[in-house]
Amino acid sequence: MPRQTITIDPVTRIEGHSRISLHLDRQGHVEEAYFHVNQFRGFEKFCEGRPFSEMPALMARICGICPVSHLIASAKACDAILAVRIPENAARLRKVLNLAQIVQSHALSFFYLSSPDLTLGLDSDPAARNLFGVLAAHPGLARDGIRLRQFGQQVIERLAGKRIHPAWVVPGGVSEPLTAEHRDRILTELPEVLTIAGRTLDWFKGEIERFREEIRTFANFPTLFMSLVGASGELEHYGGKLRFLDAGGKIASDGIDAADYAAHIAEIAHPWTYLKTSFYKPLGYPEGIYRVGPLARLNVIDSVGTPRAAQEWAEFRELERGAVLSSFYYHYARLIEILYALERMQELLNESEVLDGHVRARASANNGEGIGAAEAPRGTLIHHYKVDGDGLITWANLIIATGHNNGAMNRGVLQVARHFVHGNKLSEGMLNRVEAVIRAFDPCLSCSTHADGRMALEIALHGADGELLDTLCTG
Amino acid sequence: MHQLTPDLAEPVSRADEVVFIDAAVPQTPPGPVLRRRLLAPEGGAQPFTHQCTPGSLLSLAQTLYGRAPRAILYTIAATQFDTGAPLSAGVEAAIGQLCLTLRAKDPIL
Repeated sequence: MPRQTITIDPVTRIEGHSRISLHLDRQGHVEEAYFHVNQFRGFEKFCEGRPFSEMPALMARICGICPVSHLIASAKACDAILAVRIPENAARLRKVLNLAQIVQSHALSFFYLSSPDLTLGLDSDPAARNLFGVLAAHPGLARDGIRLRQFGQQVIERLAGKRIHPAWVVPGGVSEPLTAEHRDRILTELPEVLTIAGRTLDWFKGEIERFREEIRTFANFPTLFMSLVGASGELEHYGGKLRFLDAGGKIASDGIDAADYAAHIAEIAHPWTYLKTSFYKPLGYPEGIYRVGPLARLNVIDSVGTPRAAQEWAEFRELERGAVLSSFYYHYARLIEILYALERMQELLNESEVLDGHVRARASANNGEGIGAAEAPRGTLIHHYKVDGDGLITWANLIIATGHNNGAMNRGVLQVARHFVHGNKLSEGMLNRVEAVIRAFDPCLSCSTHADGRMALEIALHGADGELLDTLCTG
Repeated sequence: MHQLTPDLAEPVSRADEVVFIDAAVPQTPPGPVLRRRLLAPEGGAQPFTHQCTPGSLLSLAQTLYGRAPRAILYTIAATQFDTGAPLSAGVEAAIGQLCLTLRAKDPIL
């Protein structure tokens, strides 16, 4: 049979625009696969010349799903330019906001984007395989997912004034303290959503056995894992230092200040996609590819820190000796993180200082460079800025979670395609599984394609039989 | 609202009436406002599940929470959607008239 190229365009139920190309040999076996991110944002370039104080609000516009993550990483970079230590309660409030972001984003990923596959089946009718299909078949689960997302969005609104692109997180802290009314309202609602989070975890654990083949093949291979960890190695989304862990569960590097990220992380551009790939410098590319996000965080840490999430984490870690490798388990890790985020939010809001009015440190630019890092729902997010003597941005580099995961996503697409896709007989379910491995990572492509102003392009000319006739590269 | 999302279904289900205001490429010159009462929740599958149409939002409210309120959709006809473009005179006038209409219904708006 002739060589074939199968294109999945667009990849559905993810954030952003992309396609997948599968290249089959004459026997119908998948020879190569690529995850093409075909949207370009360019924030790194067009923020040049802007006052650094504008950056949190500007960078929040990168995304409508995780603007809080960009607000926080950007504000931390600006805090470094100011050379200030922000008030303790400002850090506390930023943490609560970040945890609310984790809840709403993870709820969107699990319930809105992936639950159609998990509840209706990966081979179910694509016309019904969406949230509306889930609500018809499993209305209770759909209601729970909508409630969790709504709760996270409402916390963001109560703290920051609005759900999307709030201006509340600023260089030096936050702009307004939390009111007692808002705090009490959130605390009143927490027991209900904690129950929902626990119920969803119990449901998912009961369903895992249905997905043994997917667990075995969904980006299930050794890689490094990276995340921020707290001072005692605990789960940490706002502060902490970077840690790399290998697939055997051994720490590869630890205690890395985010300001030193460039000594450990490098990026490579590819001609087939606007999304760069990050890799661990000591091992080079591609050996140094690593994963970030919920699965990575639960692998990298030594403890969780809240009671119910800690129990769930202990059970999760029993899945494998060493690190948990299958990317299917990102779904499981996401649910544990929702539970943790709600418990931790409850702890922080019950601290007596949470209503303190001192929430902002003020200064002018005192450093020509600032780096801020935080754990976004999808993984480690780094904002790195340089400014001139007037505080105007001269250079910016954003390392986005999805870029850290790009190497593993591409390799995962190839692994799934080789297992499920055969050129002699194609089915929609096969191709849905290729998409589903990407969904497991919960990529945010709108966040992640900024490059540095150079647009690489490769044009490949294939004959009717699929043979590569010529290529042309630019950039 | 940047977009209508499924998590709006619960507050919609508790409302007495919902007013949706949108802009769209028209069949007529820019400016006129089309008013349409959404008589029944319009269900059906949506390929993108983090945004909804007014009809699918009402359908969600009915299915999940047992109630969909009376709903009106006002659509302003427009032709230019470029970032930063000023409003055309026709659209600006239409928005002004629509605000007056809505305030007459409910002074708090």
